[in-house]
Amino acid sequence: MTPNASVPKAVRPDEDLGRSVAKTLWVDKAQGGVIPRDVFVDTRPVSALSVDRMDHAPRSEMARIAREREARREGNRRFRGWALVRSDKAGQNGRTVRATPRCDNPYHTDIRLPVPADAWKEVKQEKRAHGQELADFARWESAPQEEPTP
Amino acid sequence: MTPDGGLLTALDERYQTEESVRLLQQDAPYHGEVSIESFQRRLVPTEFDAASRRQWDVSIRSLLHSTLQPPHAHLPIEDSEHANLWHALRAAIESPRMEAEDDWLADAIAELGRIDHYIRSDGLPDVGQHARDEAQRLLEDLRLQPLAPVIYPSEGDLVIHFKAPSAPASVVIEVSDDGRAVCYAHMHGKSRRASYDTSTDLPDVFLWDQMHKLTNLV
Repeated sequence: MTPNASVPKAVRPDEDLGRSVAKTLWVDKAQGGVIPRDVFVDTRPVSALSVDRMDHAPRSEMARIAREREARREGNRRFRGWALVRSDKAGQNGRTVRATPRCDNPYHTDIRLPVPADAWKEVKQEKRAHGQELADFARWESAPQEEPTP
Repeated sequence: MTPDGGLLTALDERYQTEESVRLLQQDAPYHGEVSIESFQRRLVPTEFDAASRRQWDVSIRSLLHSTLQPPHAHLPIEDSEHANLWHALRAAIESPRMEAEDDWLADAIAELGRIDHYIRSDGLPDVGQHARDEAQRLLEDLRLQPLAPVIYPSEGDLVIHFKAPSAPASVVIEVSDDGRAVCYAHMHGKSRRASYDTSTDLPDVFLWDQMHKLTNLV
């Protein structure tokens, strides 16, 4: 599959970016009204967060991509919903938003943090502070019901 | 002025225990000023059940409301730790949300007790006993704050997360099992944080100040 040509390359400031969520803890807290900052913290030595552009495909398609991604992760987790943050908010305080389409996900986008990727321990607090900011701006949306396979 | 600044005299007699008198008199150097610690932790008789604690809180709040005066009024407000404490306490007392949400401590401690469920179900790193104990102590110290916190494990640390109800803002306290702590505040699009080698330094002026600002966000 090639990247979807209908998805504009530039990310608009008012686009919703979705961070898929599978952990029970995060889902329970988000449904209770507080999105944990860890939803937006990648504990690996990386300086970007993977999100999906939510405004260019039906939710069912975005959910399919998220389900497949979570199923590939360790523990075969079940996708439960998204923490949605607007692109302009995601791009504040030194962060940048850049579309990074992939063959299996033309909506893939990176929120790049202004922290070095190779100094995880030194920048742990920085990443957590960015995670807190993003979580404050985010809102929760539960995954749509999975359509039964024919 | 009596050693307790007249406060204890005005308390309902049923709340006057020998222990509370002794503790309040230990605060004589305050010369009638009210320390948050006294009223949040030390003076609340431990034998009270939940209903009695609520009644106690209402009495305390009512008294403080009528008697509190800004301490060290001759000093610039930012130079006085007592001034910040006074602001925080005054905000807690005057908040209209206080009556509705003053039961959050029991819920928060219960939430703290449920973290093992999530650690198991999500395969998260365990949280040590010291971090748990410190988190509970902090919750008790912060119990007069009107905003109810959310508690969750975070990569081996424990997080106490206060979110503003109607603004993208929060105060997050992170307690580690090695005794360290970090306080993160995000308000008005800006972040501030303070690190502590020992979590027992919390709550401090920075935390009270950030909680006061968070509580008063519209």
